[in-house]
Amino acid sequence: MNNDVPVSSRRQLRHTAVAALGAVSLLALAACGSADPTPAATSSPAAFKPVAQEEGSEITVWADAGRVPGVQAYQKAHPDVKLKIVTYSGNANGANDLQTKVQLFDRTGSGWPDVAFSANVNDGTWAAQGKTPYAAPVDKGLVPAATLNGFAYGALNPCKFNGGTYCLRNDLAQNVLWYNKKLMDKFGYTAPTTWEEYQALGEKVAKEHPGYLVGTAGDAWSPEVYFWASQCPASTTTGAKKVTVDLQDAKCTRMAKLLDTLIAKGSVSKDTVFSAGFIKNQAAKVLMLPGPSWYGQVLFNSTFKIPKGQIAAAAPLKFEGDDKNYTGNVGGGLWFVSSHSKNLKAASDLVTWMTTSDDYQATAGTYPAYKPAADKWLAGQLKTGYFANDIDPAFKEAAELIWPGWSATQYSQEAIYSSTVIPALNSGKTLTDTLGTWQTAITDKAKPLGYTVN
Amino acid sequence: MRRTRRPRSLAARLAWLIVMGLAVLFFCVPVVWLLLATTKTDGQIVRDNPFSFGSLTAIADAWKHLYAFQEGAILTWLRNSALYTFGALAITLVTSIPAGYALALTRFIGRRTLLTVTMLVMLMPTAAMVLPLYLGMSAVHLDGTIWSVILPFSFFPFGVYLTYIYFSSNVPADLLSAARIDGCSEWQVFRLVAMPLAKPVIALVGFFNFVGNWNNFFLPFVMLPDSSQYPAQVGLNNLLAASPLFNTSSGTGNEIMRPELALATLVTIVPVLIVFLFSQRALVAGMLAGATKE
Repeated sequence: MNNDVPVSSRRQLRHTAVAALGAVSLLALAACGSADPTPAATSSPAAFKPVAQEEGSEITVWADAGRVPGVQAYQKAHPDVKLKIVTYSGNANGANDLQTKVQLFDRTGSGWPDVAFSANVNDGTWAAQGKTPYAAPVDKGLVPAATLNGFAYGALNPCKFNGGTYCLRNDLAQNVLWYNKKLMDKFGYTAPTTWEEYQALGEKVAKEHPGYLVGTAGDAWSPEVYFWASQCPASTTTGAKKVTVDLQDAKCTRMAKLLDTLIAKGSVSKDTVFSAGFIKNQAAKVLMLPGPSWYGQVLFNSTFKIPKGQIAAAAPLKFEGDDKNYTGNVGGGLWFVSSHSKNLKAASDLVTWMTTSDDYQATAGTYPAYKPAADKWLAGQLKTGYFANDIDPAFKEAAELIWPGWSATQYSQEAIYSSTVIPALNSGKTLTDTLGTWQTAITDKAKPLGYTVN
Repeated sequence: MRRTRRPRSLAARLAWLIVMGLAVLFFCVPVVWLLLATTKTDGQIVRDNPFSFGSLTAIADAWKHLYAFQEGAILTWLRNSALYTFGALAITLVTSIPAGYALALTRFIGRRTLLTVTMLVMLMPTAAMVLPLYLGMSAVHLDGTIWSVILPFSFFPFGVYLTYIYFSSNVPADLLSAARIDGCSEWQVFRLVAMPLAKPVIALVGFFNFVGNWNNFFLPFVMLPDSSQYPAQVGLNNLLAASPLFNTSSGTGNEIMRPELALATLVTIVPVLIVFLFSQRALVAGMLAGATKE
């Protein structure tokens, strides 16, 4: 025993040790309270068995502020239905409020909303998984097959898991080729129909009208705009928790090279379209911009303030060697019915109305995924007189051309691109240089979530 | 011997000025920008000089849009914040001041252990406790009620520790003994002697608790399932998510843009600012208490 240590110091040491032990125990207890039941998420769901139903019981609806007026309109049209409306973030902008709360409710065994809207198109990847998934399979007697068949081709793909359809799609965000018709006419250009023509025109613009732009590669959703359209296997699920990621595939490298060329020439910006600098200095110089359907009103009209009669939409571009043109998709909300709901009838009726009703969808802010409602929506867009051409053909064509090889995953491609590729581009590297790092980043995100990456 | 103060060199003064100037810029520029942002339209914020003044009409417009968001939700959030914060503050003061006093000036079995545990809990990040707290509240069927927020808010070991330090170093035990000799009961000693001396630390504990609770996001976010119960911080998160600036799926026709977000931020800061302005003298006295021994 060390007699040099005074008794008081030994006592202090003992106190410190007890304190440290206490802290570790408390932290361990705190860790036990973690609400992340990941192991459950990997197991296959059992056959759906509804809980005991209580006809006419109140249903709780969680929706974002943008969807709440629609739910209120449903309430007005159905005064006999008892509704409790809760406004939440809608899982927009990378939030995962719904998943966090559902995991807590799974722990405590109560509290699930009967209906939930999510602006995150990837949310089916967790909501339809687990022993008792949060989402109920709507195709198992809750929503008629005729209604499900009315959605655009592939629109319900982010809802399809384990042979069931676990949500209804609120809106599509199919990519088209946006262009400023007034500027194009002024410069004597015509809208391209192939990516090769697009590149040639981009090079021409850089030479003849330096400063004008034909695209941007600094948006978080650039992979969905360019690489999805190029049919790049960056996110192809081949089974439950199996994903193929091959960014060295020729269909990825062809798009990387195309963009690298135009970035080097200066006609594709490395900035994002929503940055203050871009809006101030470059918005008026956007000649063409491949991007989602919501760019029309949200970006060109509300954000860029481009006057009426200038912006037009063309069909998605095609690679000359391909049989047909494909496109990608940037967003699109989902409606879930809770498998724990005691009033599945009312809950299903509400999500069906929200996604298919002309009363709501025809005037919604974004393109309806349900085809008959989309027709009405497009007619409404024509009436606004904002666009320089009728966007109907381009939108409808693009809605049916979303390449099915790009799957929803539990990780966000946008977050990976933002944290890995955009900083590399801004440090002077090319997209082609970055493909390896990007692939590693996707793999590193996928594996801890239980994915087998090929 | 009288020490003569050496004049500082020009270089040292210059360095001091540069460092202080940078610090002022670093902390003040964002606040100035935020204040000016409310005077401009969204287009002016993006296109005009960042430090230009817009107009007072723009502030009125921004408030009109902000107030219109979910029919005055901003006022509901502020009211909820005030309810949770002041409710918790009352419980905190009632519990932590006597607790700190007892730990500092009385002797009882387990005192040191209690003090050690208080310090340990104080050091733990509050976010780490939120999920176990949720499960606990659910077990006693308090989840989703205002008590699921007020009770954890009022658990404030830092306040107990501050009070303990204050009474240990500023109130002599002999003073309390003299009061006892004069016939005071233990309650009277605490109420009539210790409490009047403890005003600075009460203000300090109250201020820290108020600010911490007012700004807390995660606990009410986890505990409260109903948007009508949201406090300001959770409401602000909803407001951000509803703006087309952060949520492209919200479509058009939404009036929540940069000026409205800046105004909402300022409105939620105001209560903290008012409390700080009214209590700053007591705060300084409380913070300096025990700093020197004479």
